[in-house]
Amino acid sequence: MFAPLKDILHLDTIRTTPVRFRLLHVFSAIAVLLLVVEVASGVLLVAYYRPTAADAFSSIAIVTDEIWLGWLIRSLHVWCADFLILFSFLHLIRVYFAHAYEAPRQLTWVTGILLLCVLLTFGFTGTLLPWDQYAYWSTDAARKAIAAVPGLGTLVLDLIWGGWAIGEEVLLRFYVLHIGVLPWIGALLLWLHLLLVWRFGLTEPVLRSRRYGRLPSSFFPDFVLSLLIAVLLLFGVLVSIATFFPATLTAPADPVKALGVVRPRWYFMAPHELLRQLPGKFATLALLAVFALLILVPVIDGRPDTARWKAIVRWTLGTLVITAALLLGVKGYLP
Amino acid sequence: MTAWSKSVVAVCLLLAAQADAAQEACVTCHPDVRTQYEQGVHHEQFGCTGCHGGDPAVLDASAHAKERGYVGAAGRLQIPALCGGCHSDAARMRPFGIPTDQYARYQTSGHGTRLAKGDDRVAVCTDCHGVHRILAPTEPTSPVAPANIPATCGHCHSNKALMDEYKLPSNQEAQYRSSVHGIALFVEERRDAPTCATCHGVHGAAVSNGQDIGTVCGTCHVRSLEAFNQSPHRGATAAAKMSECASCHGNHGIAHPTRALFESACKTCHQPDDAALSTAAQLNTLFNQADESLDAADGDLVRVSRRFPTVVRYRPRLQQARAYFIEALTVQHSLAVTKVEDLTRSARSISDEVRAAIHSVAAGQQLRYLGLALFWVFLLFVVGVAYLYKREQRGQR
Repeated sequence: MFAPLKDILHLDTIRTTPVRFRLLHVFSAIAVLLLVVEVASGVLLVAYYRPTAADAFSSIAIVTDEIWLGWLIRSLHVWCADFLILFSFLHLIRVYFAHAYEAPRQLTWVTGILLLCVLLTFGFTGTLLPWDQYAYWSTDAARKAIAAVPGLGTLVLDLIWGGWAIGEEVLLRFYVLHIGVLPWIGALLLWLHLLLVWRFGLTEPVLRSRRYGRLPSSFFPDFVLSLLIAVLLLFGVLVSIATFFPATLTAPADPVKALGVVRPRWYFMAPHELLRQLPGKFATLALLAVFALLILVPVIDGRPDTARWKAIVRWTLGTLVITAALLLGVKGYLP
Repeated sequence: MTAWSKSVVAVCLLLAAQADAAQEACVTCHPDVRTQYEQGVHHEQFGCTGCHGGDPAVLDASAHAKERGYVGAAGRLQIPALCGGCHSDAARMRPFGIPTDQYARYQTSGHGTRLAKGDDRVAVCTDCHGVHRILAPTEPTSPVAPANIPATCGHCHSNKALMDEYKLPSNQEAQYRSSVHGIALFVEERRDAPTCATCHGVHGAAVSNGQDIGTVCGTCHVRSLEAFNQSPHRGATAAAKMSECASCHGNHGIAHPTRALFESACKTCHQPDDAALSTAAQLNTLFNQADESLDAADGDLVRVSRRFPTVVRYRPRLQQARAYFIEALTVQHSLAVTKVEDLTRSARSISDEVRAAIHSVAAGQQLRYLGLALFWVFLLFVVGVAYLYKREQRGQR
């Protein structure tokens, strides 16, 4: 059935041995496919969304309640965003522990980190768009958290917010960023990232399983079919989650009626908690240091090297950062 | 600045310093009064001599000499006139935006008329406002701040021995605290809730004669009074057979009106075989029906919104229904059953419409589950085919 397609696209010539695909390689591919779902559902939502303070909430309510399968499209958009960021983080962790950022893949790593930043900004700007109470007050909490960061906070607020209080102007700015600016930056970075992956190929797995030596996997059909199965199952899980836990919409945004406790999205919980725990300047330094470290990982540890001490340092540092982020995240959710 | 103007400023500063020194002279012997006085509003306007006279420059007993203008503590009978000396002076009060009719009003009040007859047990200015520590009503600790007024009035009016002498009840404060107005003030902390002064007046405090109580209640309950004036009860009030609002609702202990009033209040005047009671029964039925319908819609909205939060957009529509119901509650004072029926019918039809809309949203959920099941069947079929093909390919290699 696949033979003609295989011949036309020469799929069996793409990526030759000794590359052996493993389950962990699926993270990045799933992330890309989630991005496709995200874009498709986003385009459908744009058709109904009205980026004004008066109409934003009702347009989302209409999509959710009155448009055929609108609730599913919106819920998929919301849940896919979460899964996309989750799988991007998992991909980042895999790449780090596989030290896949070493030469010649340094630029692949840098574009990947920048892409993750773009995804997080997508999440941040998208949160405000439904213009309900959670959207308003979580963005307001984020504004306060950003403003509390000395120097950098004011700069970010001036650049993104334009000094406005949260209202129609900020909503429009976020909307423009969400659908007009970030997609282009994201597309460019993704293209660069994939081009570099294509150019330099995938890395060998660090931990070899018992089955590893048995039979080399090919891109097609092994990896493509594994990916297809994983994507279909994941899509099924996403649709199920969207059905059982549809995207919520609280009351329309009310700048006078503050919500009691507003927690940021899970992927902002660790930096949010860090900003809360550390005094202003230290928080700025800590955030900048984490970002700089992430970007500079291939510079610091860029040469292919099998020294055991480097592996120990790499694993220790990675485990520490992940544990700290998880602990901060959990602490943020505690009452 | 010229030499002349410099001299004027210097003289002014000297006089001010002397005045301060003079003030200090009184408080040397009365430090406790100083503490209280400095917390009050008069502190920055005038000193002790403004009320008590005397010579503040002298630091011995001769400061209290009559020839030095000392009048001492004014007697209770003189206090209103003493305070009114300044508070009736428009020129002096203008900078503070304070009215100047308090003294005139006081003289017309129950307190003032008795005081004029020499009864010094009635309330005078200092009983309500304090003596040296006089605060603005906007200060939360002021005895005339809204939340403190019931206690301030109750200081005398809850004194049974004192009230017995005037043949007045002494349970008004206790009744007020448990009333719907008292709950609004103390429990709900609504500063716009009516206090004693809202109904009885402030400085011109007076007791209603019973027949005109509606004008007092009608200050806030405007629409209810309008409806009442169109009812047969208006004539009964004019004939002094009933006391407007108070006959049904009471006065100080006004409870939140429930439909139990149809059972209790009406029967205090109407006999069981009176045709008027059928009107009460009809109104009761209409309100019960509308209330049940509204409660059901409200309950459905809360329940369904837990799973489908977007149904909260029907709340404004439900609030419209509630508005008709509230309007009907007001119009019932006219005893016009047809008007009440129209309004309650509107309330019911809107709440039924909202319930139907909410239920249609909830009903869609069943279809979603069915669709999901079919989707999974298709998905697992495709996954199975892909898996088998992959196994076959690996087998061939």
